[in-house]
Amino acid sequence: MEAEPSQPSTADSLHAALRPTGLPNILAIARRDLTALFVSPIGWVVAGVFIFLVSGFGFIATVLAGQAATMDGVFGVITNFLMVILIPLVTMRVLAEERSQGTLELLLTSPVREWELAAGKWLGAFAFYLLLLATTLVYAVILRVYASKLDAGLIAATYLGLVLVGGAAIAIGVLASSLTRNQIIAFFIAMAALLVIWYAGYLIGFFVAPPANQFFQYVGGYNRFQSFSLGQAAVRDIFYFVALTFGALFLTVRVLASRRIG
Amino acid sequence: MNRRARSLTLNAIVIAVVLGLLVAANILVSKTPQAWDLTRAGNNTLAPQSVLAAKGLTSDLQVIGLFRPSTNSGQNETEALVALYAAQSSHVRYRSANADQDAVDVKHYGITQVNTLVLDYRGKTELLLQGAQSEEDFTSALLKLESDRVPVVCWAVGEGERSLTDANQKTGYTGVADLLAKNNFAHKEVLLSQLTAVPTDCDELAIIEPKSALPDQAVKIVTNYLAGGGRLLIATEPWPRDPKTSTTLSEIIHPYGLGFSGALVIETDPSRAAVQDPTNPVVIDYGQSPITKDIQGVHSFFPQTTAITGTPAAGVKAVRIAATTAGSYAIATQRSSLARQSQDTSGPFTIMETLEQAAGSGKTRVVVAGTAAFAQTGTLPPNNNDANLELALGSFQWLAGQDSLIALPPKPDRALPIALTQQDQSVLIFITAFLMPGLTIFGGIMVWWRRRIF
Repeated sequence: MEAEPSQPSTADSLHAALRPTGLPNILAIARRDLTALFVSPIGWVVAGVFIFLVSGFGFIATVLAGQAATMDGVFGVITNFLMVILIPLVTMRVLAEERSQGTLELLLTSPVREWELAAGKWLGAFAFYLLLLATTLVYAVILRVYASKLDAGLIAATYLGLVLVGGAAIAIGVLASSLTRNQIIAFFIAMAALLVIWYAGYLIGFFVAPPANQFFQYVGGYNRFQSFSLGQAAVRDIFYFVALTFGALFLTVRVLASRRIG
Repeated sequence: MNRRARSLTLNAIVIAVVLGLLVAANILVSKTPQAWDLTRAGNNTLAPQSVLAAKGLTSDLQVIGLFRPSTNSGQNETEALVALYAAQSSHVRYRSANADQDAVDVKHYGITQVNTLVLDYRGKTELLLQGAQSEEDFTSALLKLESDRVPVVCWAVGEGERSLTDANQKTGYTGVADLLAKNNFAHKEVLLSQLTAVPTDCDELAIIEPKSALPDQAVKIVTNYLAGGGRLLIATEPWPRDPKTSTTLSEIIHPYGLGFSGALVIETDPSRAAVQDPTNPVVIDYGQSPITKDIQGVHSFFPQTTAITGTPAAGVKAVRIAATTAGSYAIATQRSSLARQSQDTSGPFTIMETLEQAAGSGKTRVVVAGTAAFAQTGTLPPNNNDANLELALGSFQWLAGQDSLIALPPKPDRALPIALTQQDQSVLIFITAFLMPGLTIFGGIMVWWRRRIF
């Protein structure tokens, strides 16, 4: 008597339907990387340092010392510290470690496509970033308790900007990590790139005569973020960060493709 | 070309094409002003009056931001505001420059402070200083620039008054002449003693420190002019050579309850007087007025001033713009020693005041100053960069009715004031500085421990 073939479950059907989109692979890679961050000391160290700095410099120094209900201090720590230092710290290992351990070759010879690998690595780090960002909601809740007229729209717009900025910064970090097998070098490449993209336009714009300064002021990430910090969601600024994310991930894919060719 | 080289070349071409497309798309999207204002009070949405003012532009408005690189320059907020106007009218053209390097613009527009916004429209300019770059300020400036009307200041002459052509670098008044010209005022001289009425084209009249008494006829026509809703800037000096000078000037403002004492005011508080000059009171705190809205906390000087006396008459809205401290005193008659004597009157003294009274459908407005020296060239830029310029210009603008061009409700500040008790602060410090990082560290230790065990 032959056993009847079992009916595929709904989850199996969904998985099969999504497989051509690459989503299952992306989610699997992202989940693996996110878990790796939490089972290794690096994720906890980054989170601890981040929360300590945000509390000290962003909240206590601004809100308690200044007796002012504002999230500007918290956001300032995120944009000035988290983005240029902690994000490279998180992303430096994502591909460089795979290369140094020789697992990148395995991944590239598996059925995982380059873009799935890049997107998965990006998504894992981005999810970690979102979790860090979510911890700062505690400060917003505390402020709301003491200042009922706190402008939630202004704060929401800034969070939107931070999500977009973070996405772009992580994509740049993933790209930097794809360029080398050395995590330290990947960290410095990412940090240098973020410093240039974030501040160079802003600073160069001040020392270059018009009209050239308008170009530098436009391409500076710091300037593009300002509309969000003022409570605005401007199409051009949203597009700028989305394009930056897409461009960096695209370059990562091409770097991975060139490795496969090599 | 082998297969690897072909693949790498193709890779490079694909990268160039995709990045080129991204840059092109960014250039296209950068032109769109589409944005959503998520703030509760519409901080990033222009009021209807402002939209109308922007749409009323018929030629290019050049807006120049002369900022110094700094986080507290207000540049981001100001540029975001300018962008809102630019979204309403393609005539709004903005460029920024480093205030420390752009000598051409600084000289051309007579910039005295960094972080100044210049509005240049059809040859007319308005300067918005840091702290006065709100939507209300911008729209008011825009309306002034769009207005073809040039207010006329009629300058009284004939009794030894201060002259707009006196080029003395200390006591001259060419600084005021420049100020009027730069701010779109016209001026003409009027010989009050030979007139039967103040000319109808005078938007305001200035009687600045006549050396001799005004003829009765002049007093009468000025009084009538004010009763009909006229605008007057009047200033005198202490210890006039002809005592009747003060008397006749006081007669002009007597219907409003005020007069000049004629005594010289001495300021004894060294922090409220020019260095080693107690005859030159310094004012920091001003009465609330459109004239003083941007200068609270900024010094202004009132050299050789007399006191304004009296109580405003019923129906007169008076604002004490500037006053001396309670430690000041006034010497009624000329003497060589300025040391305090028993007959001297005690302060505080009002040394600048504004009066406003309804007159038919209009308003009578008077700016009374205890000294003409508050606006003399020596107290204005480039000799002095304190608040005297704003006081003088604000007076002319208030008299011309330019303060009421627009009034927009203020928008809430980003940071709301909160009053935290010591206990609140302790709780918050515990939560944010100890509990939150502590929980994170605890989580890390737990993970490390579990991995070690299992």
